[in-house]
Amino acid sequence: MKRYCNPFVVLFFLVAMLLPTFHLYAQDTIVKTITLSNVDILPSLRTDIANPGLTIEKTDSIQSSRYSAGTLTDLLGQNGITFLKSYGGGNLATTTIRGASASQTPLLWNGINLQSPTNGGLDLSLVPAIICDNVSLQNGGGSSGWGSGAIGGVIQTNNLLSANEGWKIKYVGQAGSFGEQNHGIKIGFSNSRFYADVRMYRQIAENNFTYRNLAKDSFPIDTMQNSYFFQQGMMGQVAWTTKSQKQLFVIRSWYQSSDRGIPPSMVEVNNDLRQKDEFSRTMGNWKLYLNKVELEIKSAVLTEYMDFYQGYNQPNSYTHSISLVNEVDGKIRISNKITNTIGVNDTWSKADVTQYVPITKQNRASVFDAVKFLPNENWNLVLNLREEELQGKITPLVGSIGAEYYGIKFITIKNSFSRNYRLPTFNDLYWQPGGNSDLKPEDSWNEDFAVVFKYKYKNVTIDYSVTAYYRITENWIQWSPSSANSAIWAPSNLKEVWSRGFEHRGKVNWIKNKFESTFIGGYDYVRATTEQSKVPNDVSIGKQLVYVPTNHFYTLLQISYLKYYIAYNHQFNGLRFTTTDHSTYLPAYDMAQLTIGKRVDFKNSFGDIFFRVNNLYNKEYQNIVWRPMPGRNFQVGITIDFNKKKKSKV
Amino acid sequence: MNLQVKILAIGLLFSLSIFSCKKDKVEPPTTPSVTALNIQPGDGVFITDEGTFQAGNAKLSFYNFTSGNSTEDLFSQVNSVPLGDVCQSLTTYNGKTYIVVNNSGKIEVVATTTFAHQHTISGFSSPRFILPVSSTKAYVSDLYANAISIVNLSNDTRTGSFAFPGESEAMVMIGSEVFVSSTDKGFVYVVNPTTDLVTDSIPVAKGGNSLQVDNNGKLWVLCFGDYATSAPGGLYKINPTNHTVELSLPLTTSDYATKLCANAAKDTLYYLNYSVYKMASSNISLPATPFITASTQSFYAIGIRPSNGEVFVSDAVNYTSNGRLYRYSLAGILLDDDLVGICPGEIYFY
Repeated sequence: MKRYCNPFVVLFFLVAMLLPTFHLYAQDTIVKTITLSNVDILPSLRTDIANPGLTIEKTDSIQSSRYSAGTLTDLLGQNGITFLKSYGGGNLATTTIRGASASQTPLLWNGINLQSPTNGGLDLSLVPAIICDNVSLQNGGGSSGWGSGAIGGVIQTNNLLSANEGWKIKYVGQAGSFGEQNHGIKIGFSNSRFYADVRMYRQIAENNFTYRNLAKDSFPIDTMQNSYFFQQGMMGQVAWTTKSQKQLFVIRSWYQSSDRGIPPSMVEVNNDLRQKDEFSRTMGNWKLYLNKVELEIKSAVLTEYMDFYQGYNQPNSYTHSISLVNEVDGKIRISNKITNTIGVNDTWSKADVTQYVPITKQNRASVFDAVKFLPNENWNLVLNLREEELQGKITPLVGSIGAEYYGIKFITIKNSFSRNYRLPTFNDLYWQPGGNSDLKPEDSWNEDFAVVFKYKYKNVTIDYSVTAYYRITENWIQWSPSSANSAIWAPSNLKEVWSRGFEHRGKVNWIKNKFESTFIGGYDYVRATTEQSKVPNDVSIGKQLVYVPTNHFYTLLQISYLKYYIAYNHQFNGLRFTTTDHSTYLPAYDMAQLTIGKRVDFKNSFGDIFFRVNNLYNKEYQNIVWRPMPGRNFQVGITIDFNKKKKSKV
Repeated sequence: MNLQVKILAIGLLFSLSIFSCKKDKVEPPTTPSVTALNIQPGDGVFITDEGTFQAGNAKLSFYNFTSGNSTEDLFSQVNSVPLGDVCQSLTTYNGKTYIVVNNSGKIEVVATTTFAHQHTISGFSSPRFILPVSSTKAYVSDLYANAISIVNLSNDTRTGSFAFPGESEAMVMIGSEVFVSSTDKGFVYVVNPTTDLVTDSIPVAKGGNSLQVDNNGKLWVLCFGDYATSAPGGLYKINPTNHTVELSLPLTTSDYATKLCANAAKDTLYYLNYSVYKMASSNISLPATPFITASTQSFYAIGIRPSNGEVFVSDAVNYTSNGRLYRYSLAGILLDDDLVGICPGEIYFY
């Protein structure tokens, strides 16, 4: 089979591989050893070539510590870190980073993309926070590093390892209004060369909150029906290094089962919709560290099963998919200024969906090469190119150029220019009726420019960044009534979307006497408009995309004194249009939370107890039109760490 | 500058930049206010707008013949509550207008002249059309229930249902029998309105979406076929007395025919197949060329004005934003066009 036949690509790889023989620098004498405790600090092979030039935002421990019993919807949405399109309760919640959809924003779990091959989306309510040891958001494209789908941004979550900590047990629990009860437990063991942990969790909620039904005469108070949420699962990981500390093996496996009632909106009556989701995700990782070369082989098996009951005695609609991912990445230190990273990925997917006839399989392979150049300690430059092949068709060459400049005291200047893409999903290609196998991938050009300021003086640390971006996405895939038969909807490369704006992020931390104060704030200005469209008489040209707010603002203020703390969280979400001609909209709203907590010390363990009020001002609002959202509600939670050394402050 | 001032300056700059958001000046759409209504026969035409599925933006538009203006949503303006999700059809009977709201599983009952809300009939699964079969009883067809609901017209409540072999759609009463089309079965079914039982079935094609009685008392049914099995639709003339098909005019799988209707005299039939077609009720073959050809429009419904035969055609545009209503003369010349709601699905003259 003819692959990689683009001569420019072939030439580039030849040159890249021949580079070591052209540059004979002094032998690099840095001896790299890998231990379980430093494996997380060492950037993964991809991270240091996928990130430069872009702003990466990591959730602060304050933002995540009190959400460890919940899901990513709580962690990201309630903190306001990013505006989520949420159906409320434990129902579907997806990202809209810079106007991009969920299928344009991958979620990477230890570097493996969890987006569904069938619809390209990822429901954040199905990702429990106990699985996410750390969470970071990258706004801006990342296809050259991570492959198809990374147009809007990338959410990354990783599982951490540690060494020499013996046995550790941690319990997280949370109970709240509307029958919410979440429990999670993590048990781990580590010595100098071996680490293992297992975590188990169960999350239940009735979500039977009351709301004013604005679709009925005289707006009666109704109670949410059929909105239950039940989710449980477990994840284990085992890791060990060899005696020489040059090799690391990690195996992880995560299984989860969820069962949710899908409530009707205020204008609907169907109380019978239910959805069951079940998945198992297993991955294995081998890393080798030599003097000048790092090698990583990664394999993963991802299976997903979704069963949807639509009521009215209609037959269930099911989606069953399995993906096998194999990756080999190699990093070669050509000199102490130049590093070359090359990687190959093969992803094979099979989907069995009620609406596809027959069972559909797809194989895609991609290769990327990135060169990182550090001319002096002030500059970090990365050029990254990627090529992907799908069923014999080659996607256009994508790449990114990232630059970071550290020459000015306290300041980093970043710039990234990239081309990103998203391949059509199985549903886009094979859904019957309507699936369009001639769809082209979405093609996006992205420019990001950021200034980051970090300052520390005595007891005060200040972090601030401002990012401006400009992105054009062509061949945006959208479903619409097909010209062949107006009753059948089909996807096509329908339009061009122009997204631009800026983002501010700030954090101030101040310690004085026994007080510690932290202030975190962020502001997003997003203009994402349709610029061209193949639909005749398209009235959406020049208008903001639906459900994308132009303004989004969040802030967190926490003050802690000795063992007590109080935190106030406030977010503002701007107006969102709900129809493409802007004839209807959902108004802007504020949302606030208040948390108070205390750290409790026992003999061999310590705990954190908190009490939280959500929707402090009892605001009535909608995130998706006609979907009720809960008013003021309460949560209480506790975290207990057993067998751990005492920490001196919260 | 000493350090304290530096920190203060940075803090000020920092907080200023966070708050320096340029707010979009957004003007919410305004709709004209409607004072006390008094709709009389011949005043105008109603258009039911489906809206987009689950968006709860169904509307009932009204086009006024005298002023030439249209009101985007008459229902919510008079009653201050939204109509619901997917407004499918309406029927006027005995001084009341029954508005079927499909995905909200209800029928809103308003007084025909004032449009003031009187009742909400609920308990349906996925109601499509309502047909009064006597002065006290009406049938409501349904998409998913495999049954037809029965409504008591004296107190406007749903009293029950009876089994139906599949999806029920259009209904018409001829003599003492009710004829019901089905979109998923290839038959027109006959129902006895006294016993509420299906008594007979007449074979046609799948996708039976509209029924029309002509000036000779014959029943015409229009079918759009079945996409999944590549079965074509067609136009069929049925003799309602002996339940036989007198004329069979099949279409092809590239046709999609809907919205069969007639003028006041019932001697001319009209239907949509991307463009608008018309034929005399005495024809024995389908028209070869369209009466009104669609250029970039997505024609969605037809209605013929009883008083003068003007042809009203709605355009769904792109099915997700507001549609349009076109008014053509008897000869097919465009006279007027106006804005209506999303997916204007049915046109009714009162």
